[in-house]
Amino acid sequence: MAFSKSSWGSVGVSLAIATLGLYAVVVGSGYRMGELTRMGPGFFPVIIGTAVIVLALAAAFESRGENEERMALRLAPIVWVGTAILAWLLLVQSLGLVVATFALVGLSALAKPPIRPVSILVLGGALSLSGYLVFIWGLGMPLTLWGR
Amino acid sequence: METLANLGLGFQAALTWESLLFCLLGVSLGTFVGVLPGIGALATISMCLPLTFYLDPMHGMIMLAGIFYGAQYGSSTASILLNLPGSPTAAVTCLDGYPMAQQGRAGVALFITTIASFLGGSFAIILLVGFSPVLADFAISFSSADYFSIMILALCAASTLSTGSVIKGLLMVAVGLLLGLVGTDISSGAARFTSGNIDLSNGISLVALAMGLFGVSEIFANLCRGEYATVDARAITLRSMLPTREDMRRFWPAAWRGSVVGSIVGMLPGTGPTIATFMSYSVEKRISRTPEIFGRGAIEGISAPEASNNASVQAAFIPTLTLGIPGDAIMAVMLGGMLIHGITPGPQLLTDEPTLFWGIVASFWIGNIFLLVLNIPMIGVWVRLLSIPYHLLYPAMLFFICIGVYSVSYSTFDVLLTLVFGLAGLFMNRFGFPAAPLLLGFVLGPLLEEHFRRALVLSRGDLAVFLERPISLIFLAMTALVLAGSIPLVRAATGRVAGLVRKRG
Repeated sequence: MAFSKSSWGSVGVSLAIATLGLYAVVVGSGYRMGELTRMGPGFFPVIIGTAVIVLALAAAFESRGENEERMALRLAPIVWVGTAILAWLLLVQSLGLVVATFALVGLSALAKPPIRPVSILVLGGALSLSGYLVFIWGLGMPLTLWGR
Repeated sequence: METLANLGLGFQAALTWESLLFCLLGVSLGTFVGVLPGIGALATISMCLPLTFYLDPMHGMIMLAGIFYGAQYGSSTASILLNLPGSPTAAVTCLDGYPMAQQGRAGVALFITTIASFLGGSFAIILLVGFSPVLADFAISFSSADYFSIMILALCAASTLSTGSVIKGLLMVAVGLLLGLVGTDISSGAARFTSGNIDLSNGISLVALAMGLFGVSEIFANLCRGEYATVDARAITLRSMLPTREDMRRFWPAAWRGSVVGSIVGMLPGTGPTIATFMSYSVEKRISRTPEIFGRGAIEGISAPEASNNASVQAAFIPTLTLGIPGDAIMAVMLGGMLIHGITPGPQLLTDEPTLFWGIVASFWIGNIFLLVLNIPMIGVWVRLLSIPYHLLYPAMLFFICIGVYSVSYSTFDVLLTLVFGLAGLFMNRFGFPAAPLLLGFVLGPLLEEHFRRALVLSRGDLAVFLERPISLIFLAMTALVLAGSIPLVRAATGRVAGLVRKRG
């Protein structure tokens, strides 16, 4: 069984999904199974979990020789965009919409240098304002501009 | 006659100021995101879904549907001008649209695709009007076993009739079904796969899942690619858009064929616009007496796929509204939205909520007329959009994704989930695991389980019920055919066109 060098990712993702299926089967079989006439909550999860395992192993087998060109993954954009979202969700309830939004815009800007301070400020302000108008003022969402 | 009366009812509902406003809002927003490569209709619809919870269900659906078909109009713009598809379905339009632009005929190409879209859309709407009541009458007698089998067909067709690996497609459906199980089991009340987390007791948020897989992961992918082409705002004048008589002579038959192919493909459960456009392109190329001009700016090569694209989008509402079974991921999100609004699409929808059903259908026509105006006299505005730099676009998208997800249930946990699904989506996308079947499985999962259980309760645990009911048997047989790959024609055709698209990419 020859694994091509570029297939490790595909095989890896398949095996990760197989593990997810295994988890579903193990946890699912802990629920009441019931019988075909009256299925318990565990019945369907075990069937689907099994299907996931089987298909994932088949996918791993199928893609072992895969040799397709894939886009390159770069760490910096992923890390900065991820941090930006995390910052927003951690800050929005405590420090309010404005701080959270500026954090989001500022951190996500690091994903695509060069840094443009002016556009960060303008964009952060414009987004905070539109967020306020649409979601807080318009839809009555329980968020504050500056935190509580 | 009854249909006419119903349509009258529909237009009455769709011609109110509010309906018109939300229709215009939807199609404008749809064109906006359709024009911009990198923001899809799916991400936009998921982003707007929470907003519609504050609206009357009909207005909400009119707006969401407007985004969907509006995006199909807009998506040809970037394909023609930049060779960058605004949505996956527009990839085919690049093949002949971009060469036309290089020959200085961008205006004509934009005009032709808009007219083709209008033609395809209108054709399918007529079909929707005529066919839905018939199908609904028929479907009223469907049992749970029948529904189960139709859903199995939809899920298998959606995952196998695309371009990538069949096994990966089916795997993604299964993963979607699994994710759909998270939360409280409706028939027993047991919490499943929640690990005691209260945020998960109502299940994984559809909006978080869709935004993660299609919004955040797109942003990741665009930033990793590092390149994002923009166009100089060149004025496309009305005069430059006028096609020659020869152009129109070649346009009409191709556009009609595209409309027919698109309507048929769109109506089937599990087949979406991508397959429709690929199929109609290959049909055109096959029946053409001059196949060698395809890929070098053939009018037929943009007319048929664009007509087909819009026909399939409108026809996709037939199974979604009358059976409650969506054809692709976008329709699945729309179905999810209707369910959240407390509307259960299905054969009863036409009799229980005639105003809603016919109002939405009537709004399609109004929307298509809006789009004609938006895309021909006002095309210059949209072309200028292509000059918005990406460094302003993606932070704004991130913001609307975050606040949109948060607004569904005021939960920061959902925003975290969005990030997790965004990362998962990036890796899936990178290694050829399609995200759309996952979303379809996620939405259909709970329905599938419910009908499976109910069918077996009624048959007292006899699995043969799925083979004894004739309708169920027919759909299972079709599923077997699909799985056996007995439609090599479709796969070969889509595969060939996909190969062409890749080569150009």
